[in-house]
Formats: sequence, C-alpha cells, structure tokens
Amino acid sequence: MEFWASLFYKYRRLIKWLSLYLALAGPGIIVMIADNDAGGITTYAATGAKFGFSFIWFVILLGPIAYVVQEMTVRLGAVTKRGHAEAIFDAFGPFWGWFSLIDLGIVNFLTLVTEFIGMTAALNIFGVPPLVTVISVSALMIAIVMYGRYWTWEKIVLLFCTLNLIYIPAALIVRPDYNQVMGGLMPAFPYGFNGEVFFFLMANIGTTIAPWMIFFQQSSVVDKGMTEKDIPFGKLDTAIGALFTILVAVFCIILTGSLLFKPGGTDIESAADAARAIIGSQPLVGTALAIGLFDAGLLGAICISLASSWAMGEVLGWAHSINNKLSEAPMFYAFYFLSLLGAGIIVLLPGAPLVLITLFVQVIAVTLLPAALVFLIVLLNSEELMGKYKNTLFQNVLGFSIILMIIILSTLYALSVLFPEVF
Amino acid sequence: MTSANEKGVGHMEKNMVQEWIGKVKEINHKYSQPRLHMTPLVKASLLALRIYLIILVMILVYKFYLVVR
Repeated sequence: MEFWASLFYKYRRLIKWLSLYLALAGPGIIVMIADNDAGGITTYAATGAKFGFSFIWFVILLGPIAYVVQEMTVRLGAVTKRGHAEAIFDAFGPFWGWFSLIDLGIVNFLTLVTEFIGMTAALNIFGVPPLVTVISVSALMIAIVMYGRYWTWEKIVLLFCTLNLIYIPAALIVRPDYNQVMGGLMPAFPYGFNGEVFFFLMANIGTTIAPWMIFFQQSSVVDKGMTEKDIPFGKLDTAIGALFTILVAVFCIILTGSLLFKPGGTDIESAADAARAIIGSQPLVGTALAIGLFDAGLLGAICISLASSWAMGEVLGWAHSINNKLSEAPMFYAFYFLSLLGAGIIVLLPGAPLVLITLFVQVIAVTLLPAALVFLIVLLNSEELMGKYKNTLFQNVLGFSIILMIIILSTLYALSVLFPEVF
Repeated sequence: MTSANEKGVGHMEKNMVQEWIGKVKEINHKYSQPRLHMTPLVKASLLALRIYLIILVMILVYKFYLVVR
C-alpha cells in the first residue's frame, strides 16, 4: 500500500512539474528553432547538396555550443529582469550601449530583409507573387502581436515552430541510406580540408549563433516574467530547443544529401533552388522543403523584428511588452511595424541588391557578435549583478572557449566573404 | 498658405530633432556611470574589443575602397 501511495505521490509531482514546465516553456524553444531561419536552412541545404552526409557530426556539435551561450541569457534575464540592450547600457555605459543598439538595429534590419527574401522565394515556387507574400506575411505578423498577450503570441509562434519540424518526415520519405547517414556521425573530412570545406563549416557556425538570439531570448525571458526560481525550467527549455534545432538541421542535410548530392558535390544558391530542383522528381518532398523555408523565414522575421523592438523600447524608455495593447505601447509597435514595412519594401524594389545584402549581413553581424558575447560573459561574472547565479569556473572555461572559437571562426567567415580569393 | 504650411512642417521637424537630442542626452546621463566594477580583466576585455572593432572597420573600409576603385 505504501508503495502505491509513494508511486502516486511521485506521479502527482511529475504532473505538477510538467505543468509548470509547459507554462514556462517558450523562449528557449522559439529562439533555437528560429535560429534555423531562411539563411540557416539555405546553409544546411547547401551543405547536404555539396558534401552529402559528411558533416552531420559537425552540425550536431553546434547544438551544445548554442546551448551554452543561450543558457547564459536565461540566467541574465531572469536575475537582472533586464534585456541585453539595457543591461549593456547599465553595466558598460553609453558608448558600448549605443554601439550595440545601433549595430543591432542595422544587423537585424538587414537580416529581416533576408528572411523576406527567403519567404518570397519559397512561396514563388507555388506561383505566389512577392507582393502578395510581403503583404500577407506583414499582416500575419502584425495580427499575432496585436492580441496584447505574451502568452497568446508565444503559443502561436510555437505552432509555427512545430511546422519547422517538417524536414524530419520529408527526409524520412526519401528513404536515405541509413548506413551512409550513420557514417556521417563519425568526425571526418572525407573530401579533405580545403578552403571550400572551411567556408561551409564556418557558414554553419555563423548560422548557429547570431547576435539577435542573445538579445531576443533575454528580452523574451524578461517579458515572460521569469524569475530566479524559473531558471532550471528556462535551461531545460533551451536544451530542448537546441535538440530540435539540431534535429531540423540534420534532417535538412539528410534531405538534400539524399536527393541532390552527387560525387564532386552539387552547388545550390539557396534552399528555394533546392526545392525547385527536387519538386519535379519528388513533389511532396520539394513542397515540404519550400514550406519549411517559408516557415523558417517567418519565424526568423517574427523573432528578429521583436528583438529590435524590445531593445529599442528598453533603452528609449518606451513601454515594450507584448502584454501591452497598441494604445499602451505605440512606439514599440510602431517600430515593429516600420521594420516589417521597410524590409518588405526593399525586397519588392526592382533591382535591389539582394545578393549583396545577404552577403553583407554575414559581414556586419561580425561587428556585433563578438561584442555581445564578451558583454554576456563579463555580465555573467559579476557577483554584484548575478549573485549566486554567476558563472562557475566550469561554466567560465566552457563559455570562454566557445566564445573565443565563435569570435575567431565568425571573423574568418566574414573575411572569407569579403576576400574569397584568400581562402 | 503653402509657405505657412512649410514653416509649420519645418518647425515640427526641428522640434522632433530637438526632442530626440534631449532623449539621447537623458539616456547618456542616466547611464553615465557604468554599474559594473571595472576590474583589470574587464578593462582588458573592452580594450581588446575596441582594437578588434577598429581593425574590422579598417578592413571593411579597405574592401569598400577596392570595390569603388
């Protein structure tokens, strides 16, 4: 009898814990899945088409790296109750504050343009004109923030996150050679290590950690009202998100590696190109790839435009919560709408240098990413700010190593985009 | 009439710019004293960051020069 009572007690505790987790889940999963934005999906699709399953192991390694960085933003947000932009102003003064805010505004706006490029290209496969895509997407994005409830916004976005998992069934439909897939789990460079391999690996790192992710998750944790006691749930949420982001990346590589890879590698310019190439022979899979690309762009756009609006609101003193109604936070929503409008207009402009913008994003992001990462780890080491939640020695060793690696590799990636002849 | 309108718009723009300048000054004043204790390690990190950014900007300017030339 005592055994059953104990079992029932444990069951009730588990249910209670799960209910609490489900209430607090969101920021980590959203930021991690949105990390697989239009640019990310293009990178994974291109990696699979070029090198088959060879670099699945490398992409899997990126999951824990993303987790280590994003976990720090959860603690920082939950303890300080401040977004990253405000935290930088407060801790480092106006020079670094303005630098980060202006740089974030530029990087995010350009990234938003690339998300619109991805979405318009994806829907264009189904014959939808870019103008219709831009108007519909903007209307949808405005509608989901207009409810005036963070909870509603989060659940709608989580629904879009679920759609991002479309690559998993799509890859399973093509019946990949599982022996070869397993071979891709072993760290190796079957095609040698040359400039091209290096470029692809750096591109994969570049898509894994982006500056907006740090700003977005910290602000999201604050807007959700998470506190110190919620940190374990925030960590779990981020870990689950990291798992999903890697699953999507791996299955995207399996998909294009199975259908597009040929000895010598296949070059593709974008995920939309990959979808077009596949849709003729495998309509269902090609359609899934295009839908996934659209969803990836949409998720990226939602998170990036909000990351900017939150940051501006924090610093400029505007009311800046999704819990606010339009009349309560007019500047916050105006900035959000104007970002969408601006990015949409640029994509629709005839002759707009969209390829240049896509390349420029990768370069300009490198001016912000190292700064955001350095600020993050310095803030996490402040006893005054973090108290008992400051980094431990192990977290610092891990954090410093990862941040140093990201800074070096993302800088090399930017240089390889600027001077391709050198690499 | 047109001139009066233009004058009004110009005045509004001037007010907006002044408002923004005031806002920036207010923010600068609010955060003028960094809250973080500047240990030698923090100072060294920020210096390294400044040097990194200066080098990066120089590289970007060089690339821009190559493209324009």
